[in-house]
Amino acid sequence: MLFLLRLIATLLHAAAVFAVAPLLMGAVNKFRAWALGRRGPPFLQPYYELYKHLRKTTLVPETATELFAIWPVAAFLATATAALLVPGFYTGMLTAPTSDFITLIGLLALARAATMLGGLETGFGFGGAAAGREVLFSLFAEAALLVVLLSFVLLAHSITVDGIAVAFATGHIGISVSLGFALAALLAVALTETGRIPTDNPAGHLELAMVHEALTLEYSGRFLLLLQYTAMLRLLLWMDLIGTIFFPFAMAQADSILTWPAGLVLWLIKLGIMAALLPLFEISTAKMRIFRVPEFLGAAMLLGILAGVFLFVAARIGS
Amino acid sequence: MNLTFSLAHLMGGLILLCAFLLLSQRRLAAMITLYQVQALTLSAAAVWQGFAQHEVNLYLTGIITLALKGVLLPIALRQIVLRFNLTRAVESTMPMALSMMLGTGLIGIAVLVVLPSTMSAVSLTREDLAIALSVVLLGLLVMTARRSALAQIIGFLSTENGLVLAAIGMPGMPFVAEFSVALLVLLAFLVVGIFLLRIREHFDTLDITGIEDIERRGR
Amino acid sequence: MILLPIILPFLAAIVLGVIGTPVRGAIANAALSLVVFLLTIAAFTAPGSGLIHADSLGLLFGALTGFIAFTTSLANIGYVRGAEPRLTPPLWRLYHALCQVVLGATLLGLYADNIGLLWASVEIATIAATLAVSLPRTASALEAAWKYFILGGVGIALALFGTMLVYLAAQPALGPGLNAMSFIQLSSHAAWMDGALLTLAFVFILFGYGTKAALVPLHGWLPDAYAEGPAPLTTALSSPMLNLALIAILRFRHLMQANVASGGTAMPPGPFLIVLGLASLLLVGFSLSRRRDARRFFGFSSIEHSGIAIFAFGIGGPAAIFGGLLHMLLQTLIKSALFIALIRAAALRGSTAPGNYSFSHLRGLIHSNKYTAWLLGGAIFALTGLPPSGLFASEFIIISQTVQRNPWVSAPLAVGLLLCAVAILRNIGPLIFGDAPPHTKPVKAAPEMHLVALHLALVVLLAFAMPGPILHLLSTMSGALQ
Repeated sequence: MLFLLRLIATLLHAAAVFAVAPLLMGAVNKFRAWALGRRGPPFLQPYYELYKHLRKTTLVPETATELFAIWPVAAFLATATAALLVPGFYTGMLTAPTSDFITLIGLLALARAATMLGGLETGFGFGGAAAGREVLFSLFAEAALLVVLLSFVLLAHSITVDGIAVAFATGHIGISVSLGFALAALLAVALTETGRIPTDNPAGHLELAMVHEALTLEYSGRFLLLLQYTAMLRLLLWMDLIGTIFFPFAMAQADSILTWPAGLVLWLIKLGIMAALLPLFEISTAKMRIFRVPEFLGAAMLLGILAGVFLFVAARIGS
Repeated sequence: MNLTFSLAHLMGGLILLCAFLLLSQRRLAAMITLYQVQALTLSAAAVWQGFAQHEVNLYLTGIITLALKGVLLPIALRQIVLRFNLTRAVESTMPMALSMMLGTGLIGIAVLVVLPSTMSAVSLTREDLAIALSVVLLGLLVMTARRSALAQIIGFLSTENGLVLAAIGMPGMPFVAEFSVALLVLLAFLVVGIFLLRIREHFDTLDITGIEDIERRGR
Repeated sequence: MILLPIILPFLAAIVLGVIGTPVRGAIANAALSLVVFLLTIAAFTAPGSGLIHADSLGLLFGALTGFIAFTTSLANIGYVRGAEPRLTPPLWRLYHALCQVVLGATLLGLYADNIGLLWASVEIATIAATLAVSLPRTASALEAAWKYFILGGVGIALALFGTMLVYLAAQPALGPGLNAMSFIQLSSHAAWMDGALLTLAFVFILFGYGTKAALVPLHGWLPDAYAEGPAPLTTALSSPMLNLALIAILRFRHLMQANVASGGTAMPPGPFLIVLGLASLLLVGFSLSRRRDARRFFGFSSIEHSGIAIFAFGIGGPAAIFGGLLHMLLQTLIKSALFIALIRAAALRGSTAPGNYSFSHLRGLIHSNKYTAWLLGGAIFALTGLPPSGLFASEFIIISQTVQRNPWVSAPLAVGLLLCAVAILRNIGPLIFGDAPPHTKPVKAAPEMHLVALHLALVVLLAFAMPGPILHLLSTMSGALQ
């Protein structure tokens, strides 16, 4: 019975994630437009666009290999799996034991590798340049992520996102300097991974400066749909991750159905707030030069190390 | 873990974060903003400590910090940047990555040195002291890692913030220290202001590489 | 009573800073310094209580500071007469005010029985001295002042951190409040202080006040400040400031030593001090002979003597500390005499502005004026520590104590002393007896030279026939602070 409940919860979560991801992107775009003093596209615009891509012809460039079709699918599947693993509005789903951080990092790396290969597929210049940059960024981003993970594990004694959320929600941890550092580091990584300002510009259409967008230039139709949907899922995933780890309070439990509605509402509120904060941050900073990005991520990594240092010493002394 | 400790800890962490980010900043405007955030956090921390320790002096420290360092100094620094039309980007003496790694190392050293040696001290002060020492050392590192005079001053001011952070964490420390630190900032700034004006008369930039001339003549 | 010599200079600074022509300001400055000197003597009868509570060491060095300030201010009158056009009247007023501020701050630091007050006094003295160095407004003076300010500021910051750590270390023994900042209380409760914290504090204190005492890694400001500032204030009056920093280090060293001696967990302070002292001595020894500018040269020599004093404190024991204190005392007298003579020597050659002090410019001084040349030569010779200089006595004590207590470090000490002495001796010959630049005419000696003679006589007297009361004071203090 309990298993069934948790199964339902997991499926519901999956449905919610897939349904909300485009809306989240729409909300971010809308808020961004508002912050810039424009009316902006409607909240549902991403759905229209996905639908548009569905109806369009899918073209394959002549220079592409047979694998051209595989990369978008691979990227989508990896990202989707990762998005399903991260608990959004309740803990204790069926996927909880498998939601460990290393798996997540691996899935994200897999998705990134697939997009990069897709960008390289036709052999045109911008795709290759963007892939190179993406590798450079991810090198530092993943290192930072792993270091941050270290302090989470030290604090929560658990490697799964679910376990970390449960441990943090109980409040034994309190507010600590390490968590502040970890949050700062995680935010920097998240901004890089989702391709937002200051490392990349999602609204940019200058090929020279693009990173994530340039990788998808050669795709059209359903492939483009998949890739865009992947980007939306990735944004949701990162927001989920930050929201779940740092603000896990009053999350619902998968095995008690009565807490679900409140958890769902809370989740939507959390996402809404983050969707509002992201554009605010974006319009207040400038995009940095490509070669500053490793520095930016290096700072994130060092912050992660600092979080670890403070925790380690505190743990040794036993405050 | 009670709220007093947690909040003091968090604010100390924020101050340290600002000090660390100072290291990674190239632009003067960003450095000044970071300094301002640091000072504002510091004043909040002072008031919070005043509340926790029931010390009127600490409230006073918080207000002085807020007024002088949180508001007046940043305004004045921005004025200097504007009026002298200083180069907005600061040259550094070492690669950014190296200075940040050094900074991390310094924090590690500070934590390792302070925490074991303060085992018997009051718990409220222990981690605060480690953080304060880190801020002091990071400020000094900023001073050595930057070539521009104004950036060095900001590093120095950040060091001062670390000192005040240490002072407010000391149980029942007589007000002498805090007051003199506040005074010092004011005086230091007066002196520095005159310097800046005069250095401006003699060199066209606030770049102090000219000092090496003296060294060549002297040594 | 003890408050008077501290407050008077600060009040006088306000007056001197507002009114008066340069020469009148200089005369008023001299008169005020005389009063302060007399007050520092009078302070022996009433050492005060509470925050301002001088011990014998403070009183003795306070009187020395008063004396130096007085003689320097007398010599300063002649300097101002000659250098008047170089600064505007408001700047001269500021200059005289700064002289008084430096004097007052130094006395405050010597008399204070509170580590916070001590720190504040060092801070005031630093700010005043920085301003003074910048007064000539030349590019190089500004650079020197900037360097001084940056290094001094760093030193002050470190010293404050150390001061706070000492307070924290005293918590187990004395609890919160002013008691935990009083030297008298601290040294009588040193055994119960937190040793590890005290060690950490001492490192900061050492580097903080060590910056003010121009110990080696942080010495960079001193030669420039000596060479570029207005001569009487930044050179002659700076030795008392160095003494203040050295005495502060000595007092904190005592806390640590007392903690170690009574079984505390502090580390013994000796090695820190010996390393820093030797580093200063050897660096000066190896670089002194390359200096061409006399003011910079003798600035380096001040670093050397700070190093010797710190080294002596590091060796420890009553005798070595007695030697170190005696060395500071005599060095201060010689150095201020030397700079007074040097300024007069430069005046003989036309100008006392910075840049006129190179050895090649001053050489063959005997052809300009015999009295000045002999006295300057005597003062420089006294610096080497060869008999009959008083420094021979102090260095002899220090060396013999080193051989006795820590023979391994006596070799580098001897090398350093020898190198410095050789570098100094090499310059005396050409400077005094060498060929004068062409068109040098004999000039009358300035009356200030008698002050130099007085200083040198005092040096010999203090070293070889020290009056009983002073001897008693010094030896009890070095016993108490061992």
